[in-house]
Amino acid sequence: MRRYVTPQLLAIHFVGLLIFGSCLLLSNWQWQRAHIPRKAINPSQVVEYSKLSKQKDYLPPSSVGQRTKATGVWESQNQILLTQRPRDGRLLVDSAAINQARLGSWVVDFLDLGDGSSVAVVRGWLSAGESVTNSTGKQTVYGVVQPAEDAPYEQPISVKELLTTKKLLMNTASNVRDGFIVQTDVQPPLLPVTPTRGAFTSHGLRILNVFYTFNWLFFAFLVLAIWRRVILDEVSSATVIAQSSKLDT
Amino acid sequence: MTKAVSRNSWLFYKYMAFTVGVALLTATIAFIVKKTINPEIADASWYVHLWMAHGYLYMIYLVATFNLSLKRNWNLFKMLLVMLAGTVPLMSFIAEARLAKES
Repeated sequence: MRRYVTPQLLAIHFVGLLIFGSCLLLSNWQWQRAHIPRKAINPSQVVEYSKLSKQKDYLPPSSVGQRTKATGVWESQNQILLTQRPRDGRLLVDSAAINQARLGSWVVDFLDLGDGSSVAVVRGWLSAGESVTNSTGKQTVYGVVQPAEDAPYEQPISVKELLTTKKLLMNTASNVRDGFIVQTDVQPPLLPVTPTRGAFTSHGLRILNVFYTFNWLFFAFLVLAIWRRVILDEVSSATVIAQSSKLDT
Repeated sequence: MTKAVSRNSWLFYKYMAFTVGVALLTATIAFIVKKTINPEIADASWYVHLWMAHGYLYMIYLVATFNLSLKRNWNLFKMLLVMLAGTVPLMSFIAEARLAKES
């Protein structure tokens, strides 16, 4: 037993324990990072958009599908017309169903919130060939929060022209907040659009971080194996030295 | 019997060194393309999966290297050096070629 507690072996034990413990801690850190807090707190309650999407930040997944309202002045000079779109946004993630749907345009206007920021609002759906004027004046809009259409979600959107964060930024002079509102209190001649994404009902896992968790666990076990081997090597060489010195005397 | 076991360990290491080397080289080329020609490939799912694949292959490579180091009775420094060769582009090929000369 004494041969396992020499100063050299104690130093090896210390280093082995340190690396093994670090690997376990890193594995635990990655496991914590793998959990995405995305479950909506209360999707049926109406919450101010400025509280759900902070300025100069990405829309948190927990805000998706949340009922919301925003008060501001319409930016009458900025409008995006997204063509080849069905009224039911849920069909955008179903490439087979979208081929059967009647297609028209989504009308997107920007609402200046008065604090230097704005929000994009899908005001409604128009059948192909129809046109609508830009909104003007002050208004309170009610609707449902949606993420930018290039945000990473389980089902990608199948149409070519996406309402991305970049597109939102390029179409307004103000500091646009990420995500957009699909308006529910729609004014004629527009028809209401059904939002593409519903609220998350559970928290998610980031696959990449789950992978890193296993990576670090694997490294921890590899460290154990190397540690064991180094100890055995040290002990056997110490035994050989002891035996040869015995023979010498 | 021992010779056969040692040969199996060598072949296991050799194939893993080649596979990890090819995966790392492909991922590195994709990284260079992302930084110079087409930054949008970073958003493609295959780009992330390519690096993940290299990660998994590298773990198997570590097992193969550790196994070979036991069979050939390498010192710790040599074993760690060969293990690290799987993280530097082209280095796993060089390490494999050097070890082949040794045997």
